[in-house]
Amino acid sequence: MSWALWASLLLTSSASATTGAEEHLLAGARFFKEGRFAEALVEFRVAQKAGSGQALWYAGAALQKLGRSEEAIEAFAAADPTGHDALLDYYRALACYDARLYLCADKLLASVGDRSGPRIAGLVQEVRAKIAVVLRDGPSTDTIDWYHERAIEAGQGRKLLATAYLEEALALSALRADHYRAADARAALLHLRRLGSR
Amino acid sequence: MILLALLLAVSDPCASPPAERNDPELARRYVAVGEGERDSGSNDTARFAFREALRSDPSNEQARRGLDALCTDARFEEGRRLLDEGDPKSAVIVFSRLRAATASRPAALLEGIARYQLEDAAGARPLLEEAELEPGLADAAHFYLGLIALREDNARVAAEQLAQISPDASLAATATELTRTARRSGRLVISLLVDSGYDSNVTLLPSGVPGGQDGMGSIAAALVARPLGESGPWLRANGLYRRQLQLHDYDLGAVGAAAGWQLGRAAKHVGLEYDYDYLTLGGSPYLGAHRLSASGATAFGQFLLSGGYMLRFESYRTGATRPFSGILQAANFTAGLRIGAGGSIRVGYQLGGDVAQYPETSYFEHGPRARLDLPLGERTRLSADASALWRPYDAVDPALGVKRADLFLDGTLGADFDLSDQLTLRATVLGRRAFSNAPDLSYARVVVSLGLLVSTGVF
Repeated sequence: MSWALWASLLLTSSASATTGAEEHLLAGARFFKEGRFAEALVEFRVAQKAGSGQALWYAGAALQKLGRSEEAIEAFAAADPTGHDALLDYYRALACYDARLYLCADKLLASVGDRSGPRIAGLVQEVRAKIAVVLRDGPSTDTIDWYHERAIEAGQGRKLLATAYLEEALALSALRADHYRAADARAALLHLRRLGSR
Repeated sequence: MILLALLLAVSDPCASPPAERNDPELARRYVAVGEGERDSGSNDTARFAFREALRSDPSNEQARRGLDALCTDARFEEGRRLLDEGDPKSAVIVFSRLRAATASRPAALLEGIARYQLEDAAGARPLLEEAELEPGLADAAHFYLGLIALREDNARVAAEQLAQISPDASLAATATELTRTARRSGRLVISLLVDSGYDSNVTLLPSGVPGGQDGMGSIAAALVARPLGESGPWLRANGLYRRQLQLHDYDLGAVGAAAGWQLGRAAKHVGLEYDYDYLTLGGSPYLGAHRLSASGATAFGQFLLSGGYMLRFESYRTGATRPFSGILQAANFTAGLRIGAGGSIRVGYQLGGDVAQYPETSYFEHGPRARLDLPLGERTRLSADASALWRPYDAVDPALGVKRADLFLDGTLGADFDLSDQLTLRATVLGRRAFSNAPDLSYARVVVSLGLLVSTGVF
């Protein structure tokens, strides 16, 4: 999988903003390939500061590898939504899965499908099967409350993460006949977007 | 040690990296990333970022400070872990590297302790003196400075250091105990034991025969000089006078002088000794003996090994005992385990041979021995010793009409209770059961005594 990221980076690096950023993207990819994810993250962050639009996607992948799934979610959410490939969506989906954002993960995995080759497609199926088990009985009110609580906690300065939890809460509410706390989730999301637009 | 230092340097994420380029702008980006990572609690990532910043611009002070701050904590924890795991050598390397980057009294204390464990007193002392300046570390620093002084047989300095430990410190109880040891140690130590007791069978009468019991009182003194400390030459002079309450034919007088050389300390040493003993019984000359002996001990963690050999030239001075004059040789080997704080249990075997004037008074003896030393609290120590010794003689004794063979079963129980730093109450119970194929020579004997021991280091 690291090879795939390396190849993906080589293909996209020509589109990077500056030569300096490109150097750090490649250095980050080398570290990533070697499994040195902390070093890779630093290089991707430096590339980001040097103006690379792609760097946040790779930083997100490195964060996910480091087990920092919530930070990965924030990095992916802040990244330019265009110009990335299916493999990075796969990492994003794994970050969502690790943060218990199952619907987020499932939606991304569905979009990855077999676009990243047969090996990733197999892994996608495995994770989707696990998600199906988790969601089999439908969300309880306690579950939805948990996402609201996580959003409130994250809301203290981490709006992108709070947004992710609220979107999950809203999507889970939609799975229930009573749409438990759907209005709360919509209101909170609206509030966060207003804050974001200021 | 050098190889270890090189290996640690190669893999050290805190070492200053070599400058590879001069790009202050890039260094600032790395610093920004490092600070972000540090603030999110990802210290490993932050360390890498600060190191990369220094690689780009060695003069970037923010990066240097960031790396030092992160590495101080990481190195301290690493050093403490190594010390806890019993690797003081590596701990010294880690702590000294930490202190090279930033002044740290806690690190000085722990490096001092590690160096003490490595028996590097010269290296440990200045570090502990530095740590002593920090109120929260002073007790531990005084404790280890006291231990160093004790190891160097400087009893006065040891007592001074240990006395500075506050009474409510966790080390206070041990310090009190060590202070007591310090006050009884030194390059010149004088001891005096006064005791009284009861002996159930002074005359060694056969079992069932009435009489032989008596009370007694004794005084013993010893002077030991070790001019270079525990490891080095030493001299000893000692004397004993024991007076029976009724059976004055058995009053015992003894004087002795000895000189020896010990290399190493009690747990790990080898020693050679010469001594001369002169005894009187009932006021008349009884025995003069020259003795040469060698002993050694070593320890492997909890395990203890020791052994000794003795050659004694005995010259009895009474008509009845003169046939027993000759050369006595004895050897012993013990193996044991440390138990608790300062206790030990040992088992061993002893062998001996006495080549006396006649075959019927010469013998070879051997048997097992076990000993337990057990401290009970700060002031009390218990000891127990048990042995069995088979002693077959070399030839038929014409006076007895048999080739004599004896078996001795001995047991001793002792308890010392420290009344003060220099005064100890000592109680002892000693029992012997002797079996012999010559029935008149079988006997039982119990001796109990209670005494006061004064021991003090003069300097």
